[in-house]
Amino acid sequence: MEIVLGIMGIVFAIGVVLSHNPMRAIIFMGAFSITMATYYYAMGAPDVAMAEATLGAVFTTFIYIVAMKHRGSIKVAYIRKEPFFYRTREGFAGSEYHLLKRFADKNAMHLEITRIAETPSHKDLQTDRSFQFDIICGGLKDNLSLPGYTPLPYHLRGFAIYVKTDSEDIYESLEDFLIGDSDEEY
Amino acid sequence: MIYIAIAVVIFAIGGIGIIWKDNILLKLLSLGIMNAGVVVLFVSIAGLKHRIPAILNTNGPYADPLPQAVIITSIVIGFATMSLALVFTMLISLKKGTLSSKKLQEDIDREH
Amino acid sequence: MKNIRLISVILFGMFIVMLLISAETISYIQPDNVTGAVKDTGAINVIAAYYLGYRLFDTLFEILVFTVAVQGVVHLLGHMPTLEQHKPMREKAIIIYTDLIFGASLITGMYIAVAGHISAGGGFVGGIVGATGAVLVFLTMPMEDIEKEFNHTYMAIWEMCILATIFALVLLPIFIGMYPMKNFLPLGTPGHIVSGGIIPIVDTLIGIKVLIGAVTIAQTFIKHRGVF
Repeated sequence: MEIVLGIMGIVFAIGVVLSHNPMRAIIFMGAFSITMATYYYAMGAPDVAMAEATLGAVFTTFIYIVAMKHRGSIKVAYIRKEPFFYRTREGFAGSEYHLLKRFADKNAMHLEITRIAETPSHKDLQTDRSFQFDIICGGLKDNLSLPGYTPLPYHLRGFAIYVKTDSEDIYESLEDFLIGDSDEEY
Repeated sequence: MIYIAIAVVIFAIGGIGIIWKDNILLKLLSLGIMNAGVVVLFVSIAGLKHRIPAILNTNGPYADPLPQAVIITSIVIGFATMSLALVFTMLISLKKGTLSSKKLQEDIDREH
Repeated sequence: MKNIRLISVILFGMFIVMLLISAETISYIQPDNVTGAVKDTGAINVIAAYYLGYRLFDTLFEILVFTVAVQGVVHLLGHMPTLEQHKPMREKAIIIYTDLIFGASLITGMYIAVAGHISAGGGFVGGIVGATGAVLVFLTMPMEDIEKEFNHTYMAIWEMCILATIFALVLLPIFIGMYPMKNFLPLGTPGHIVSGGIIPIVDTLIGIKVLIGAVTIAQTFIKHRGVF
């Protein structure tokens, strides 16, 4: 029986290493811990088994899930336009700012905001290596052509937020957020 | 013999994960697997001959208590140090905006 | 601050010097078989007899490593921005259920810690089991209540007091003319709850210490990250 448990543990360990999604890897890690706790018990070490079961099932999983929530920061570039996105003495304000702020809070992300010039040129948006900003906003019409960015329309007809085409996870979650948002409140 | 092989294989899987994965969070998980491999080695050595836990209200030849006593404290300490490592990971993700080790290396190269 | 550092250096230096002076009298007895361990320490759980008897010095510094790791988590996460919106689960049934589980797991953990010398378990496991209930309660409480009921400053003070108590208890035999870390209390009948000299006392103190440390880690993570 010990050999079977050990081979199960090896399989779960391979599952942790092979999974690309962190959430799936954490769940595999919990399964691995429980299997190993049973293995320790079978090998005659009940003290070690108790420690491993409690830590692996509850604490490690919990801490990893809480830590994994934070995926980093979103780099936002804005064009100053009064009702959409502007800066007051207290801080940023505007409808698009509040939209992005709620999106960032919901996903435990952090907004890094930079101001750019009125007409975004190719040079502003591009550094030497890659595209600099994840999101460009500030009352932009939805028919502009910004290379490397995809327009994402929201509840105000004719306007759009431009999201970097490479960052698919931000695009998908922001799209879901905007659809749910318009269903709830507008 | 096969029990020690199980421990070595689990340890090796963790090591391969550390080298192979790109995401730092997944690297940390692989480090946890390596830690578990060490624990499996000690417990396997303790239980090679006899498997009755060394609590003396039972009879019989007991498992060797010394490796178990060595390793039992290290599990809880491993949890504490692992959460410290997670805090470092979160600080990196906050400052650099990425968890990919390749991108972090590129960042370092560009600065120099 | 500098005075505290100086005092800690002096205290630790005294500790090490005392150990060195009494080095000839310390005899780390290696038992021939496991029954010898019971005769030496009075604890029928031979694993507890090893890590709180023969290897107590090692265990003390493992506790110190745990403390330093917890303080590092608190200090480093303190520089990060706190989450503004903390949305706990506020369903009545869940709140009552988690409160009940909190008490049950706390008592179970303390039992595991206190009875570490007569059955499987011990201080490290007991503390973690006790902290599991606190993590469940954190899922349902607003942040202000968590900070009020599990006040971080009080918990840190208690943690340090318990650490000092463990070290004092271990060094006490020097002042009554024995070598340090000797099990100076009467050993009692093996198998009874009051047996094993200082082993159950040190086990309980380690249990409370690990509980406070684990609760502190969970609370700090939730404060800066929120639940789910």
